[in-house]
Amino acid sequence: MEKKKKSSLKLSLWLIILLLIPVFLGGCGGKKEVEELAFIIGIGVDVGSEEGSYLVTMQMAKPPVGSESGGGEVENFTVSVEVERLSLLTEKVIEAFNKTPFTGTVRVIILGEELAQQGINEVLDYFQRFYQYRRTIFMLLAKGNAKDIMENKLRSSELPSLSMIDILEGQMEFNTIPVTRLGHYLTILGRVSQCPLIPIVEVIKPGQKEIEYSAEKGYEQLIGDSGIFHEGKLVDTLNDIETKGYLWLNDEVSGRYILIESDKFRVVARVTSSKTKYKVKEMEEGMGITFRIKTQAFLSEVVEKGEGKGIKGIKEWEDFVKEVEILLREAIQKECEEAVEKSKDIEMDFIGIGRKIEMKNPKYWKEIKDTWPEELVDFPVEYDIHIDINQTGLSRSGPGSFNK
Amino acid sequence: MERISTHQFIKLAAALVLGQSFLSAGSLSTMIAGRDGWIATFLGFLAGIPFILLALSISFRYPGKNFLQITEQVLGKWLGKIIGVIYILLTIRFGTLIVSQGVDMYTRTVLPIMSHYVIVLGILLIIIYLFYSGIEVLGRFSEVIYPIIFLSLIFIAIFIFPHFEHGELFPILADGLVPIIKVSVQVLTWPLGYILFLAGLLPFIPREKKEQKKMYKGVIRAVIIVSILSTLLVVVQISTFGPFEAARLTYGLLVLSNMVEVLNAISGVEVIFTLIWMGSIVLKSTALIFAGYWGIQTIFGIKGKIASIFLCLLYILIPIWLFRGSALVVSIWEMNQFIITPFVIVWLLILWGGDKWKRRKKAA
Repeated sequence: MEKKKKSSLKLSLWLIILLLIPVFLGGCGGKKEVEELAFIIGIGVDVGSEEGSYLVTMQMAKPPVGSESGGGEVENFTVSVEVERLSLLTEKVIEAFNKTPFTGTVRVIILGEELAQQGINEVLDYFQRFYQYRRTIFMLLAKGNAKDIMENKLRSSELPSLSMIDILEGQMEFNTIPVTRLGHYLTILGRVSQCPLIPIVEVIKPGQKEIEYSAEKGYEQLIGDSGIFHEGKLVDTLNDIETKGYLWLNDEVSGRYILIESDKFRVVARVTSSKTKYKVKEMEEGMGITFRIKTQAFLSEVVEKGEGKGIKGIKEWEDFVKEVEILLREAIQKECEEAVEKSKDIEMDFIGIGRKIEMKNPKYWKEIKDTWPEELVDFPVEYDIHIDINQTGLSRSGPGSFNK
Repeated sequence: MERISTHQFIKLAAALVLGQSFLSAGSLSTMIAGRDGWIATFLGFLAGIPFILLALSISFRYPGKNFLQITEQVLGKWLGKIIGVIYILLTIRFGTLIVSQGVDMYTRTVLPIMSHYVIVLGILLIIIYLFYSGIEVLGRFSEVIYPIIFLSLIFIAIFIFPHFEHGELFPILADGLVPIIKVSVQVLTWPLGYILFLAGLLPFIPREKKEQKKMYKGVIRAVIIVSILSTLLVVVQISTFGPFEAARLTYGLLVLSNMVEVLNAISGVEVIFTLIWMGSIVLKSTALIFAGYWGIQTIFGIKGKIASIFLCLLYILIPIWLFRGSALVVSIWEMNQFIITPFVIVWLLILWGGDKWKRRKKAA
């Protein structure tokens, strides 16, 4: 028994060693030292100066030479090359910068506005085909040129690409923009009825978009709004409210701050969780879709307006919370309606209503799919929104109500 | 004579039915059945159970003989020899195609500029080692490697979950049953491919009545587990890529392995997965080299070193020079659909019919 065990162990060891051999057979053939590699974090693609060419901007993180900080500090090393096809960029970079670009570290792709208008699907073939690129890479649409966005000097000295990644990852907590990854974009392309969205990144100057700062050390960048793509081409954009409406309707909201206002008060509610479901059913106007949104929130700020006397009693407080719930429901519905309205106006189904019909009522979808999204214009959409304000902070009336 | 235990037989069955199918199951099943590809995968694997049981039941009536010997006895010497020659050619071609697929898996991903020779020789080193060590060692190899492959696939399914697209599996059965049946027939080729190996393995399996019962049950259990695992992987691919994108990807699972990220700290682990899955390629290729060897022994009576050296040379030379890239994927698909499936079904049914007819004749 002991002998058998020993021989079995010996055999297993041999097998494992042999199984590892193919990995080591590669040995040092074609090896590249780390210093010879350029680790690309973000890639920007713009239309090139010649027809059919692309201006590719690569943002690399370069560890500072002789740095004593020891932290994760990196220097910005951004280069742009003009190529006929994206795959050729490696050759160009090697010729010019004696570094081999390593694309396995790419986390974000930024597409120039002009390129987006001409069509991005051809560009994406390279990212889909080459195994180093992950489908988890974020996609962004630049307002203007991708090169300008990537070469923007941020006030924080952080690499623009890294900052964009941080903003997009921050969307896990608060959702104000759709997060589009390469894989998601490609999946939506497969749904013939739906148009994919890509969030827009732009450089903002002091005073723009209600943001003030000193531009001495650089400019800030902002990701908001989103571009609608049809057959790979940018056909329109969604503003902030329409984008947020899209997020509600697609169950992509888990956190938000919403300002609501009546003639008596201004309240900011923080959404802590939300779930959107939908039903395709017969309505008075024919077959339609109902979005059922269940949201939980708490009040993070309450300010009374005018000559109110403050919310003092428990009963008054209960009525107030009910009123807030109604107003919050209306605010959410408004965002949803704006998104649906936009979708109907431009006859582009970026919300994926067609796909939702297909999921819930495939028979009906087969009847209308050939006339979709034209059919969308008259397609009835209803909302059934439930708000649950589960807490109101540490006080009822705040300091703003004391003197009233 | 060398023997494998019932436990090893069942593990081998599970590992070989699974084979390298998980690499291309997503693409194959969604190409025709779309969102319902997972149903087709499940049914396709299950449909293989009766054929495997039929093969076992025929063999139990002829203890100690492989399928080629049984064929010669039941259908006559010449028909047996013709089937035997087809069997040998088929196992060689199929086995070398699988080695090439292993090379293809590496060159498409982690070693794109590595010379074919290096990868082919690396893989064949293990295959030849296993082949010369005998069938019992292959059984033990499957005991070691199959659980690792199984766990690696489950690991991918779990860690890819955050990337699931909402509702990609729905609607179910929107295009009816026809596409599902079509794909199930294509998926059936994987359990049938196992019968090619089983045909030669029969003399090495236990012959006691008690063990036979265990083998029946074990094989059924193994195929069910494999069908559930394969279905799960197709579900994961459809849910992550959507049916259209899943159909476009040659090896969807390699793309999935490339997407695995753990807490933003671990990524780029696809090389580990390809290494583990290489074990499955090695296992299946070795099984087929054994099948080819047994075939040559039975049909031509060539034993020992000559047959084995001849086979090993073919396994080295064919993958190096013959099969590459897209042509390889097409060759494997054609081999499965147009050769293995009809050959195994026809062979089994003729043998079963012939055996029955002979027995009746004898009884009369």
